[in-house]
Formats: sequence, C-alpha cells, structure tokens
Amino acid sequence: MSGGWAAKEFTEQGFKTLLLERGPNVEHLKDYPTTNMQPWEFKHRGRLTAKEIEDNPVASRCYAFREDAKHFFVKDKEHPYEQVKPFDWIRGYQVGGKSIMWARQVQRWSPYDFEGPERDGFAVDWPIRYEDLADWYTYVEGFVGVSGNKDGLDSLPDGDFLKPWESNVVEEYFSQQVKKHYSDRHVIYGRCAHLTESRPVFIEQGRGLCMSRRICQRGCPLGGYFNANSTLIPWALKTGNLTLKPNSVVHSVLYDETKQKAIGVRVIDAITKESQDYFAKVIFLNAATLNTNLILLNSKSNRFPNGLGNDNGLLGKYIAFHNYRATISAEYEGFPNYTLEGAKPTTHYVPRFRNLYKQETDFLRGYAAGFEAFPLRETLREGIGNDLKNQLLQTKETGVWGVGSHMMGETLPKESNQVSLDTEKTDEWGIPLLRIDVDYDDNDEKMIQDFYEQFSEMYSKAGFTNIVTNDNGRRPGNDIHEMGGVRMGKDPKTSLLNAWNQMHECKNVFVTDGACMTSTSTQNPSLTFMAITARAANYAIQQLKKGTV
Amino acid sequence: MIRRDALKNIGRITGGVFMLPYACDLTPEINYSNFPLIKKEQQELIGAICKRILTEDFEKFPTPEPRGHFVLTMVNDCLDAEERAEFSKGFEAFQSLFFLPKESTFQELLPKEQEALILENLEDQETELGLFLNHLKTFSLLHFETSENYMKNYLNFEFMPGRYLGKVAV
Repeated sequence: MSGGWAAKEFTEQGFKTLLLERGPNVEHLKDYPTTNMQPWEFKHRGRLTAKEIEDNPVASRCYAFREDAKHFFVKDKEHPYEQVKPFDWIRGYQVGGKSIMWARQVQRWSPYDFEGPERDGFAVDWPIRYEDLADWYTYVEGFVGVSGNKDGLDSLPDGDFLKPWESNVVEEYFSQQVKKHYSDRHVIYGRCAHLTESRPVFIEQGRGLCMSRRICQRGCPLGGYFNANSTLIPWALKTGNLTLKPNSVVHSVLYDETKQKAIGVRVIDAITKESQDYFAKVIFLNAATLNTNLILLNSKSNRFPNGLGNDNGLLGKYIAFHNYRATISAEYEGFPNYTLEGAKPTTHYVPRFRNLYKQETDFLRGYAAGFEAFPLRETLREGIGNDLKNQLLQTKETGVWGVGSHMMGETLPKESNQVSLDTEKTDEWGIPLLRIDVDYDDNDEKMIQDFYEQFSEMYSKAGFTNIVTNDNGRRPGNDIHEMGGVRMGKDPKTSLLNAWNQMHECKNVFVTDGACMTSTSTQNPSLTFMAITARAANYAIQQLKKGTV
Repeated sequence: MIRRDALKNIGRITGGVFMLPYACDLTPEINYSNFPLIKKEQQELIGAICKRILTEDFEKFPTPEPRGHFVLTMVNDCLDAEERAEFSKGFEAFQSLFFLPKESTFQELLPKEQEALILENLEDQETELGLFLNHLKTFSLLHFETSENYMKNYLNFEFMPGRYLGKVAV
C-alpha cells in the first residue's frame, strides 16, 4: 500500500505518474469474487484441498490463505525462492498487493521506538524521530480512517481516531485488573483501519461504514476497511495523472553513469515476457520489503556492480521481522451471565512495557500483545444418529469465557539476517531467485520466555484459570512483517537511505516500503510505511519543483 | 445381533482385498477424480451411512448439496493420498461386511441394526474401518454445522452484523 500512497501524492500534485505492478489488476468491487459468499456456499466450507496444501507449503501456513481468499496469495510453485533457513515469504502479487488481505491493525510508533537502536546499541541510529513523522501519521490516518481510543500513552501515541467499537465485559475487566496491579502496563482497544464514522473524505472515496463482517481478506464491497484498491488507486486515477500498468515485473533500475542518477526501470511483461524500459525523473521502490531488496540487488551497473547504491555492501542485510511464536490462553468464570451480540473486526492490545524506559531484562527490546475474550461454547458430538443431532441442537454457551494473547516481539536487525541473489537459478522472467537467510536468535528465545512469565502472572492476577502457554513454531516471515535490507541511517557508510528515504548514492531513487526500516519495534508496521511514504513523496515533489533531483 | 456378528465375521474374512462391487449397476453417478472407480451404488452407500451417522433433515436444515456428495467431495479433495488410501481400505472393509450374503445390503438393515454396526466400528480408530467411519462422521458434522439454519439459529452467525454489543446480559 506504500506504492499507492506515493502514487496518490504525486498525482494529486499534478505529476504524471506511472504505477507498475507485477501482478494482475484488482478493481475494487469488480474483482472480489468471494466477497458476498456465505460460509455454506463454499465447496469445501472454507478449507484448503490436500493438493493446495501440498503445492503451497509456505502460503498455506498463512492464516488467511483459505478457500475464500487464496486467489489473492502468491502460489509457492509459481514464484519460487531459496530458503537458506526456513522462511515463510507470504506475498500478494496484484494491484493493491497485500493491502487486500492485511490484518488492518494500525498503531503509531512512539519516540522510544525511533530512539531504540541508539539507546540499546543495535543496528544504527534512525535518522528521524517521532516528531518528524507525527504530522504525517495524522495526515495518513485522516485518509485511511482509524478506529481507536485516545489512550494518552507515551508508548503508543494517540492519533486522529474514529470512534471505537464497544469493549466487552471481560476486555474491560482485564484492562482494569492490569491497571490495578501494574503501573506500567495497559490493555487498550486495538486501533484498526475500519470506518466507524462517516467523514466527507470517506464519502468522496466512495466508502461506507464497516459492517463487522470479519471477512476482510476477500475484499470489502462497502470499503469498510482500508485497502489501496478502494482508496489510493481510484483516488490517483481520478486525477487523470496516473497510468496503471499491471502485469509489469520490474527487473531492475536503470542507472545512467553520465548523469549519475537513475533514469528509469526495466520491466518484463508478466505475460508476454517482453522487456521494455520506462523512464522517469524520480523512482519510488515499493515492491514490498524483500522484492524491493531483490530489485536493487539486481540493478547492476559499472558504477554499482553489487546492486544500486550498494557501495557499503550492506544492501540486503539487517533484515528483521516480528516474532509471533508465543501465545497464551486461559479461561475466566467471572461473568457467567454475560454474552456478546454482533461482531467487531479488532481485539484489544497490550502496548510494549518491557525495557520501555530503561533496560531491565537480560534481553533487548520487548513485545506487544493482543488480547481477546469470547464466550466459550459447548457442543457435544458423541455417538451417531438422532442422539448426535440432538446434541448439536443443544449447543450452548457455557458461561465461561475464553481469553488469549499472542506476542508480537521486536527482533534485532543483524548483518547475518540477509537476502541475496541466487547466482544460478532464475524465475520464469529471467530474474535471479532471492535467497533468504533469516532466523531467530537467543534474544528472541529469551523474549518468548519472558512473555510466558509476564502474561501468566497478569492472567493469574486477573483470576484467569487453566492458563496454557504455547510455542506455535511459526517460521520467520509468517508474521508478514519482514523489514529492512535497505535501511535508513545518518551515515552512508552504514546505511542505504537518508532521512528522506533517498538512496545516499542515487538521490532520485526513494525506498519507502518495509525495506527502509532501520529497526522493527513491536507495532504492526503498515501505518508507519504509509506515513514515511507520504513524507518522502512530498519531499521528492519539493525537490522536483526545485530541480534538485 | 447374531446376524450382525455373522456379517462382521464375513467381513473379517474378506475385507480389504479389493474395491468390492457393492451392487451390479456399474453406472458412475458423479466423477470423483481421486476415486474414479467408485460406482453409483457405492456413492449411495456412503450417503446412507452418513445419514445414519447424522440424521439428515433437508427440510429444516437445507444445504447446497446432498450429504453424501459433500462428504465424498471432502474425502476426494481434502484428504491426502495416505488418508485416501486408508479411506478406501476402510470402505472396502465396510462393504465386505455385506459381501457374501449377496442379498443383503446396508440399506436393508433395520435402522437400529445400521446404528449398531456403525457404533461398533466407529470407536476403533486403530482399524481402517474405524478411520473410514470417522472420516464420514467428521465431514457429516461439518456439513450440518455449516448449514444456513444451524449457523444462523444455533451459532448466532450473522453475515453482516453491523454492531458489537459486549455486555449483553443473558
């Protein structure tokens, strides 16, 4: 969705813009084939076939790759890559990319997040601070539509929010219990990119209120959640300044050694395999983190034999992600006479509290977590025949609530976590396969143990019972929050991008998707990608007007 | 009971050898790609077992497709090769229970006898016959529990709720 933001900013300000997408077009409303299907209308009732699982061992491990939305995901066999270590690379090759299927959780970073690497001595210092991005967060939130509470937390700054959905009785209870027992911990409403109120800009976008269908991954006919297809792309097209070219696989960025800048991109037609060059004054790379790395690594010239802008040899290195391996579940018997009605598309959220103000554990950084609570239902399925049917008809809520949390841990960017180009294998468009060499480390393992301990304690203090912790074994990448490889920084010797996301060594190339991230913090990253992109695009526009790029 | 024991013993003698022709009409009804040899009568037998496992009530709990077809579709598409092989062997074993006395079929048993036969073998998940019956039960349950009436009126499913009330007194 960061590419859509760049397109919006340039076209709105009068610049003719070419938007390249390697996959097919997906038009809002027209290309959501399953969006209005009822659960009983699916041939396999939502399940994948054995062949689909066998053919897609990576994609099928993604929670949203199911019968209703599988058409929006890259199939493993069609787009192979090399796993030096196990890595689930989850991709969406179509106009709108993964913004169609994303989880829609949007939290701002805080000052502590941007200051983290410098304070804790890892990666490199961010060249920007929260204050540099705060107004851009507000700008983006106003267009996206973010439902949330103003919580007044310095660890998770407030934004321009639409009203939240109601909290349920157990969410409220747990929030109060945590407040009572801990001065530094909070359980808040999970801010999400869903429309709960109408505003003129949303009406202009043609979007309606979210109806809590909770099948967002199919595409929403109401435009109730934010995706690029319902907002950014039509918005940019409406200006008359956008040329959208689907099925255009970017092979590389073209560098002119005389002009000492990039002059365009080489594109392979996804269907005909024909090559064509396109030229532009400014290039924004937003191919999603790892493909942006791939394109730059594949952009070789006499000046840059190891990839565009890669004088320091760090391109593709310092990849990081979010550690989603740890979960905890329990039960609560405190509200037997309450239940829920309807649905909401978000859960509650526990912002990071570990090592926030100072280092206090034997691991660096920390984790956020989700929190959800729901009435447990009992359905007996013993025996057969009428007995079995009668048991099904007597399904009932038990009065006990199920609760659960999952860890969202910050991982540390390390040089050894990197991507590179395979020297022999290429894909069917003649582009080298990406080799991904990324793994967990001891810091991640210690963080998981701390999550178990802290959340077990928090759950116990709240009176929850039957507490069970679990390591779900998710591989790196399965969080779909891979970041880095083209990191921002102050020093060209240790980073690839400056404070405006320009390549240090090629000033008319900007990288504003997840590849630009110097560190990962714990928040879902898309809102930050969008804010960074809007900021960088407006800077690039200023420079274009001045003639300095 | 004696009749059932006899059938069971016959099954033990003959079971698992080959895909038995359950009846003489060899016309395929629906083609299931992973079970190209399954015949119309065998499909009907699967349907009959499934209905005995979980009583079908198409009037009150309508579904887009008949129970037997749904279950066979799931078996065909969603079981892996090893599971399908086990299923086939279990199905053979089940049919072999009725093989020698040609005049008898599952459908000819009294409902109570059908239930007893299924229950007796359902619990034993060590055998292919038990696994076969459990697959039929699993997919029969899925079929029923995803029917429109059941989801809407027993599980409170709403396609477009448009609201969330978190503190509803029971």
